[in-house]
Amino acid sequence: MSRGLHLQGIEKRLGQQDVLRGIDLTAASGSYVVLLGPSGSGKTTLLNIVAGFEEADQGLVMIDDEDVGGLPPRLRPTATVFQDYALFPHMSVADNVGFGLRMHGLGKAERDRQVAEVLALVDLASFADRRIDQLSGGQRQRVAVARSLVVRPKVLLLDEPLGALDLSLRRQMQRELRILQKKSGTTFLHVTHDQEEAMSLADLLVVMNGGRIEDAGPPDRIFDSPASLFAATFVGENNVLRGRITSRAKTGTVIETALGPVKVQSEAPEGDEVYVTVRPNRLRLATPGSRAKHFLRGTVEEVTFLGTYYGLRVRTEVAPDMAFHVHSDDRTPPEPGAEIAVTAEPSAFSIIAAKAS
Amino acid sequence: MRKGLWPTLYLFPASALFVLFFVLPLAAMIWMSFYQQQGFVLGTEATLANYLNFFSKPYYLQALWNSLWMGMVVTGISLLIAYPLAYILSFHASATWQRIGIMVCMLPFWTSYVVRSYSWLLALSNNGVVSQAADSIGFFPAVGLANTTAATIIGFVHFFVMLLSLTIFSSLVRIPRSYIRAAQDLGAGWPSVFTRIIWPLSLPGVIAGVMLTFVLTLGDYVTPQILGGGKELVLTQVIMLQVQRQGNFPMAGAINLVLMAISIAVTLIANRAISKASR
Amino acid sequence: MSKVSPAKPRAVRPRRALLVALAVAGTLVVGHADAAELNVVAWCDHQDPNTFEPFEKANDVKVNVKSYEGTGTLVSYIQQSTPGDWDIVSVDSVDIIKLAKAGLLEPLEEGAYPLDDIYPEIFMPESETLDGKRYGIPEKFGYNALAYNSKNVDADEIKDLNALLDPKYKDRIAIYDYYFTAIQTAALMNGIEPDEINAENMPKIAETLKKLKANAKLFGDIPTVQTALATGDVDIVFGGAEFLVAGMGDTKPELTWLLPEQGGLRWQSSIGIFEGSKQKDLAKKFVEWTLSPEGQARFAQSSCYWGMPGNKKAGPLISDEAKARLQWEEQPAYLERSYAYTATDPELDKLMVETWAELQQD
Repeated sequence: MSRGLHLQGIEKRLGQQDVLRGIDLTAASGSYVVLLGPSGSGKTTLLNIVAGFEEADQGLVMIDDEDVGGLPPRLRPTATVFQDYALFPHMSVADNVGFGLRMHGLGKAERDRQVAEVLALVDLASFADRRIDQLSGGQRQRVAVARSLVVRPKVLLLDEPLGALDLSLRRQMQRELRILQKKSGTTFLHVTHDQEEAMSLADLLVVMNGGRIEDAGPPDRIFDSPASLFAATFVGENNVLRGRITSRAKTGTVIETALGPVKVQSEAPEGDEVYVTVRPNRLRLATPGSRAKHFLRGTVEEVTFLGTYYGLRVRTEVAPDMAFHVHSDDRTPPEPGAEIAVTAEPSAFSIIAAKAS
Repeated sequence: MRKGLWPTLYLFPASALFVLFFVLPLAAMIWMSFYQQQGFVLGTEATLANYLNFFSKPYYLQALWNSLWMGMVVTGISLLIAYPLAYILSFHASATWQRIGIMVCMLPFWTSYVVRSYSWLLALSNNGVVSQAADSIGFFPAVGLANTTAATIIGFVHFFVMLLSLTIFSSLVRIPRSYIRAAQDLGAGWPSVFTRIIWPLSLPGVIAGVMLTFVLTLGDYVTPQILGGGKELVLTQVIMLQVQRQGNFPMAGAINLVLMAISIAVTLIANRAISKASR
Repeated sequence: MSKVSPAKPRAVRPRRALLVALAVAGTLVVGHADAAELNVVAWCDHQDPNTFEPFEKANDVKVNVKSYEGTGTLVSYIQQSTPGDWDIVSVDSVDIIKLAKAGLLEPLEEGAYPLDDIYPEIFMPESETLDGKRYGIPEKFGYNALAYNSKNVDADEIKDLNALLDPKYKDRIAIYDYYFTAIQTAALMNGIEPDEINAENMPKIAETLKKLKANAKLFGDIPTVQTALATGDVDIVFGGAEFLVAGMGDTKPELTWLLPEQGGLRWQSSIGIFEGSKQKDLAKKFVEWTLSPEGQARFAQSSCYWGMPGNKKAGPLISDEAKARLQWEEQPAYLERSYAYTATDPELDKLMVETWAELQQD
């Protein structure tokens, strides 16, 4: 597979502030890339640099192995879906979608044909003559995608495209975007701060923070064994413990933590100082009286019903300044105040070198 | 009941003022325009004579044409100057410069109409600064501009460029910058961005400003009277001649109502155009 | 300064405040009825406080002057008022009769005023008297002739009005836009006397005006032509005279005026008392003051515009410098060569108005 998008050594400063630092990223053509990060992490700036709205101070932007740095947006093989959609309010749906084709000099007949085709693709065939203000939020979003897709960009850039939609619509549009992306085979570069959205869409998830890439890879890999403490905590709920490696062996690594020694299966990184992380859903309530070795013992502080499971907040005596999160799918969870023991498989833990954070 | 009554009562002072100072005088003027002035008193029979007179006498029609022509020329020139100004202000100026620009545009509203017109008269007269400057550069023959139709146009344009800049600016700043980015992103060069995005979206401000400029130019007496030299009278000057020289209020009222009808028509057309442009 | 009274408690009682407000509003509305005030409606020259200050002091009265810019405006003021609103009127002598016929004026006792001291030439019995009763007395006069800039224009050249048609004066002339005097002056250029103007010779007069317009830079009201002359935009004002330039003598001594060989029009204002006045004795005193030598000398040099005093006895009270500006010594000759405004019949007036309108819009 060719490199649909390749970024190398991107640096961007604004005044005294480093907005982007040493960004390297390579995405296969036709993949769905999601930039995930809190606001101020630089993800939108990076998108703008790919689109050509902003120039990087340093670094290489290549699309399909062609250097597009220095080209104005209109000459780049990219198209953008803006956060506010930026649909032209004085034009019909069809005119909006046909705008790019018109700018590229296509005749009316060909334009109409392609517009009809792409509108059918986004399920808006019968809306061609509507005005923008007659559309719902979801329909506007689809028009915006159609308008950008119709010019056949090599990379489609989406800047928080679902931010303005309510939750259920957002989930539905996620599915639709995913399907559209597969149908069109276009590389999508999608910016969001919603980690659930990011995980459900991405082939390649890029976690950004403070102008850097914290982690990049398939969402499940990042979820299960994040490369940085930030990635571990920003993507999904997590329990984090600091610790020291006391023994390394083929069968497992033992780490001394505030809760005592923890045996983990993952390969130990270099250095002794590490973070041990374990997802709340990988923790189990020990059956009363069980002799199995427990991970922690503590008091239930709070029980929250979350649909398919209960979320428990647990506090231990040995590390009273930390709260632990445990998921329980037991329909009769412990009451607040109950003393419980929690166990975990060694494979449930993942280790991050402390230096990396 | 009480709830329903109170808001109405609160409105009473405003409505009373409106009726007293606007509706009644207007009604009196309309009523009067159907009578003829005879010496110190009004004729006894209602008649269309004043209106027939207006539409049959070449000098009234000429004045009407002068007014319309003046309105169009002033509006046209003001728009040509104001649009680029507003454009630069909204797209190429920092927030500070925008504030300064808006302040400058507001300045003419704070000075008296009469003072402004006389200032222009002095500036444009043979010994005035403009003439002297133009003369010393040898640039163009500004000497003798005072008391000409050109002077009236200059006086008007000075004021209305500011007004138009404000209305156009208010439309331009409201265009989300993402529209322009989106258009560029889809392959539009600057000319296309302007003609297909910026211009159509600024139309409400343009139309509102054009309408105001045209109607206010049509209705202004002071500027042409002070600056114009009186060789080509506009309708407002003819109205004032009827009042001051003839004491012929019915005729003045009739001409005024014709002027009002035109202004109302222009306003209605503009309103329709605005709602169409901003739909 | 009067003694400062001790401070009173400042608490405003709502009802008292309301009463005060109503009283103030009432004063504004019915202010004219106040006995200590005299209300004058007049041309702007009466507005100069210097002209009536001694009268105010002597009689302990406040004089309010409302000025108008044309008889048409005066008509509207009168139409909007009720009897008693106004005490004194000053108006073009020729228009006194219109007010008298409308029953608006009080007959004046001839013996009570210094009629014998007034230039006999400026009385207009047919306009000032009705059925043997006098309704107005001339108080001030002047001319509609030529005002000019003596630095740029040779008086000897333009004393013949027809010289104004010479191309050398192109764009150097402003025309005072009062149709009445302009048409009559143009008639004089054709050897037609004002009372000879009729529908037959009107085209000829219009022809002259057209030529004059071709040479003219502008038409304008008094402030406009005055400004144009003062700023150097024009050198000559057709229809101008002392009322335009005499008041500017201190700063613009080069601006002066002449009465042409063909003669010119003579404006005159007359003073009268309203029939509805509720203080006729005071009104009479005001007329007496205005016609007295002292009042006349001040009135002749009013800040709004200057003019010859009707009363010859004002002469010793006026400086030689001011007399020179008014061309005092020339008056006997000027009075002979000038024509007072005349009442035109409505048909002719209409024709003149239309001729003028067509000219101005041509």
